[in-house]
Amino acid sequence: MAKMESSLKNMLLSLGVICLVCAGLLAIVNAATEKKIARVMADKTARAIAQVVPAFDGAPLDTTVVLDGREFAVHKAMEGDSVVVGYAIESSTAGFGGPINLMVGFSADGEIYSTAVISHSETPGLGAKMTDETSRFRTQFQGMNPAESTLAVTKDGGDVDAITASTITSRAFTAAVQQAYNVYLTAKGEEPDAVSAATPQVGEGGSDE
Amino acid sequence: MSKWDLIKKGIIKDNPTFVLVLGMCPTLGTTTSALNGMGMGLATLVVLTLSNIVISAVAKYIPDKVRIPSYIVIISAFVTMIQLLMQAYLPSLYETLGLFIPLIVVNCIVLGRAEAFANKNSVADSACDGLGIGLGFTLSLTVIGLIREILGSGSFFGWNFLGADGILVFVLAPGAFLVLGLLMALFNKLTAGRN
Amino acid sequence: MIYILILISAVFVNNIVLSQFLGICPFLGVSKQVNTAVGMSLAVTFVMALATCVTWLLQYYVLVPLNMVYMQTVTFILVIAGLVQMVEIILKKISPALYQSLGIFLPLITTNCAVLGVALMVVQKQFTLGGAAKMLNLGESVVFAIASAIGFGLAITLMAAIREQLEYNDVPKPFRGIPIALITAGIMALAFMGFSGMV
Repeated sequence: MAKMESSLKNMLLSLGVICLVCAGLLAIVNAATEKKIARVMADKTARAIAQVVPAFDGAPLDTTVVLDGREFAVHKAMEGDSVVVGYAIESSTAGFGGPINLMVGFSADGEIYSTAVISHSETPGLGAKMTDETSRFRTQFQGMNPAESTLAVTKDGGDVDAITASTITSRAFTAAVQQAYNVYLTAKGEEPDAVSAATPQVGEGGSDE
Repeated sequence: MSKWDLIKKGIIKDNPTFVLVLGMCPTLGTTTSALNGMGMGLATLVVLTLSNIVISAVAKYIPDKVRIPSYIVIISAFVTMIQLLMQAYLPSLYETLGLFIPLIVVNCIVLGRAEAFANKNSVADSACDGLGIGLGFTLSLTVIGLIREILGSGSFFGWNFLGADGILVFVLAPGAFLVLGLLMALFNKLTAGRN
Repeated sequence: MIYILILISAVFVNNIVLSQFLGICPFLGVSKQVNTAVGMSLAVTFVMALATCVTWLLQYYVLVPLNMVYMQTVTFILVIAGLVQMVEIILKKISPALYQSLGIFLPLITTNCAVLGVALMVVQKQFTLGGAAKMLNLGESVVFAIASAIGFGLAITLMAAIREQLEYNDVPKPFRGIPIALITAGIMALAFMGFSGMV
């Protein structure tokens, strides 16, 4: 069979049919994967929450807190119907290669229980070492009480030992933890106090927040 | 050419990376480790084979002047399907490869094979061609990824044999260019006598 | 201020070619002479700014309201292909002189992954500006597109200047052509790493 002639009618017809068929197929694949993708995302958040707060019953109570004009997701981990055992708070700051998104967990008495990295784009082998949960950098946050310690790297006069050769990443991580603490205080109905509310400067660009 | 020859030629003689020098962006961007390179290669292989099959089947119904836009729509539809499936079933690989998955659409290999092979050959031959070129691409990406991983992070398919970090620069952007440049020179040297 | 930050970040720190690995094909293919490199960068700048503007509007006013984000890749690449054709036709009519110099590059741009890459990046990725992570608005997206194109232009022009010099040198045979270009690019990327952490 000879090739189709390039008349306007043929061109519009064939392109139109191809577009319609493709759009239809994609709609089907999208419908088939939509729920699964949503569940994968939800699972990821749920895993991060479970990792940063003490064991709790059922599903966490999801709320949002507005602080300095930004909205933060706060997940309350409950035991029974009334006892709050921990708060898991999503926070984000500018790292070295892009945004660092953390899940920071606090136990009911205001101590940091644990932290989890949700997403980041730090340099592999340098800043990306912050994802190693067993590293000294990550474990030092566990059990730290931001009311008593200064959340800043030692270079800036704080109590956090930075990752070697990755000061900016360490600063951003620490700032995200501080941010989460401020949200935690707001969520509990207390005002972030002046001393610990001073968010450490991140990089040379500074912060407008 | 027999079907087997069609598959085989993509691996050495028409190797998309070292001989045709196509699809350089994902080759450099996703080969930070052997597994990442392999994942990218396989995703491209699937898109390439499927688009080759469909394009060779419908080519004669498409008027010449709208050939390229039609191929692009077909290819991007397959890419989006792979993207959605990976998001659902291989979320961590999907996150690592990121932007490079949708960018398979503009990988010159895919459109290049559609234009140079699929639109004038039978469905079966086009499938073999896509498979062969795809395998060649996967193999190259895995090898580059493996070398960068061994040198850069001191590990082999994720297994850290060094117990320490490697020479970091090989995982970073400059290492990608250097490793590919050196490998290509080596490939040229080894195949020089053959032609 | 924020525009200057975007500019510096996209041109130097996250150079689209040397650190994001986008647009490598023209970077290696059209970098043999400075003249053609400059022509290519101008054409890319024009198409990238236009394409990002149109795709941004499509994303937020058509795809998101219609709940059809899964059609993103298909629509974006069609928009880019269409735009390139349109620019080609308009240029031919309005300024034949400019068409003479840029015309040959235009068809190559459709498959320049940097154009689609930037269009997708501004609607998918959060950017960190002034300490906070956020999505870019229309103005910022267009500035980002232009800045990325300038970064592309800078890399490809530098590369062409180096390759013009390389012509006169005795490069070992297996390295001639692409391999030596890649190694040159590697050294350039190493130099550009010096900018990292600046913004």
